[in-house]
Amino acid sequence: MLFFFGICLCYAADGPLSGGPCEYKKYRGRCEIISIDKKGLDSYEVKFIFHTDEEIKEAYGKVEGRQFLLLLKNSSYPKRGFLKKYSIEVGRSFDCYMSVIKKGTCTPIIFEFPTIDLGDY
Amino acid sequence: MQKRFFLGILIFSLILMSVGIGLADELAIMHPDKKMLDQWVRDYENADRAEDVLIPLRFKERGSLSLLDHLQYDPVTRNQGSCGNCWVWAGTGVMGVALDVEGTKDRLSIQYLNSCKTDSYACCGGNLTAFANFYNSTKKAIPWSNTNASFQDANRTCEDRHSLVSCSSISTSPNYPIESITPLTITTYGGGVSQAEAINNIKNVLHNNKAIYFAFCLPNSTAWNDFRNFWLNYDESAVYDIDKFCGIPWNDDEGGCHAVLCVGYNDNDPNNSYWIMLNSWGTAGGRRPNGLFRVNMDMDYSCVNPPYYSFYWQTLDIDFGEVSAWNLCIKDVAYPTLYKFNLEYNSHLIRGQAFYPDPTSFPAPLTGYYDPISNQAFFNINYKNQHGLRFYLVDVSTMTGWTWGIYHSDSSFYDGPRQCTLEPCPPEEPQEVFLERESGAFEEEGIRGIEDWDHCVKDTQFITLYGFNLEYNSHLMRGQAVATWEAPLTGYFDGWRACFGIGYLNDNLRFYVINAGAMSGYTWGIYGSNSDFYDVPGPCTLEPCPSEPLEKGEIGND
Repeated sequence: MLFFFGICLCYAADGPLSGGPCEYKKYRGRCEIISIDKKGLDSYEVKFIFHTDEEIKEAYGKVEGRQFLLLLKNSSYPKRGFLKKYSIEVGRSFDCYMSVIKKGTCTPIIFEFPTIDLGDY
Repeated sequence: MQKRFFLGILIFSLILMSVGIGLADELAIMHPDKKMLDQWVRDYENADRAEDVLIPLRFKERGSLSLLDHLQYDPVTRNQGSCGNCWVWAGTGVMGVALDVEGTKDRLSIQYLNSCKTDSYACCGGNLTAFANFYNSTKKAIPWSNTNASFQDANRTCEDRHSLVSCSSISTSPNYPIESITPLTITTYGGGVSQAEAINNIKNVLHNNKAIYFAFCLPNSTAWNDFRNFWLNYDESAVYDIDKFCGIPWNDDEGGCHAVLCVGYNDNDPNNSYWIMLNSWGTAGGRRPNGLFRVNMDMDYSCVNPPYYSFYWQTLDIDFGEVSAWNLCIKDVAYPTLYKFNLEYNSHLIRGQAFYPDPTSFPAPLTGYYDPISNQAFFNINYKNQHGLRFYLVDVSTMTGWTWGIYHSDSSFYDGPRQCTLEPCPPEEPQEVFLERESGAFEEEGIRGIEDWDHCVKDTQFITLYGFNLEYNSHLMRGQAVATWEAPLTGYFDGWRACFGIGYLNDNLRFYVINAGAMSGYTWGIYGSNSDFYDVPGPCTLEPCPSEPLEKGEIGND
């Protein structure tokens, strides 16, 4: 009860608390590498598209065919050694999950690659 | 009016409490005790108003403005992922714009707050007051390029309770000192504020070169799904009608607030006037290449989703501390015959000054230039380093996160990068640029005006030119290269040749030369070098300059 009492006043006091917890629904599929372009001295812009056999229920989450970028955990673009280590090449597909937001104000669509360690830099 | 609103909230809260409405446990971390609530009320009631602090400016009734160029960012990596820290992205954006307005463009770290804020995890939400409190305690902003300062929590969630990165692992050197940082509330509702007054108040903040922290609250899942659909499936020219859900009661389980950065507006067309908002959700799979969306200006600024107001506009009043211009030095001791070197860093333009035991024999400043193609900065000094050369660098605080090293070339070969040491600079000021010639010597200080851009050298011969020398009888000249990276260059005369280091692919390059009159009687020529060889001098043509040097980003007429 004290908790709810708090959220009302906090809006009026400082402006609202923005952001906070988010919930996602995962869809399993394949991410196909469609282009790899050099970006900077030793960095590469890797684009992929997502394919799934599952029905995506969220209307806003129907982004099949849209091109997304593969980034490392530290928000950087992969380097040549990384691409080589994980055999990331145009035309190859990797198991991946597309997570579609259900609740909260985080990024609506995010991807996970269970076979690629995006913290390996 | 505001007090009545608080009272209304209080009564509404008690009514809802009595019927047993609560919130999920997962949100508990966001909620304060009564003491903190009281403090928040006092903070709000005592908060400075932007209208009282900023200068009221006069601007056209209709027009446009964008502060986006003041922000160093990459739309793709401006992505919070599953971490609910939009408020950090928006607040840091306000701070980044303020930093550039003060003369330093750099991308500031999000991760620093995520890792070092101790009272609650940033992914669990926050507001601009919490943002300012953090920076008022740390007194410094950290460049994104510092060690471990890039954002690494995109896969974290509130439930993780802490960052992936420890605070101690983030390098805080260098940093941007902050003397004070204060939230300012822009009056947009309450007290009979009209729509026109709200718009004017917001515009005035933007015209004061301050970006705006805009928090908008949508009351339920239907509203959020609508906005998500807009974000993911419309392009950046579409305008979101953000007040379409006004009046719908707040749903505690489904409602939420999101903070973004307002960087400008356009109301040239009264039927299509909008605010320009920068989000922290990446680029929507390429649909929004700049990470932007538009919000209708013709909206209800007093929108309420009972019992809450829906839209909150704030900015920050930041007093950055003094950064010593010549604040770090590089001392190279490894190359006794150094002729040429490059420094890697993430700045567009720096200056350096070479130190020599006998200053009169090597007194001139250097200008390095950043080449975005190779991501390197280049100096070209043509000088034998026999006494432990030192370079005193301006704006070194913007060059963080890169390996300090020297790419050494001695005549015909390049070495790999080598480490050199950073050490404090001497207290004296660096010497001013010598540009004007007087009685055969260089005695006057100062940079000459644009009328002195009186001759041009147009090179068409070396299409892959990386470095070049111009032969003439002047001590120092400046030039401006026209290509994709327009910026002034400073060449240096070493007693035999003048040298520029440009490090870039030459696509029909022109150099606008100061004091070319003093260089008459010598052969104009270019010594080109491409990676690991030097070409012989080649001719280039002299031709009239444009009326003034080009601004960065302009391309000259061919």
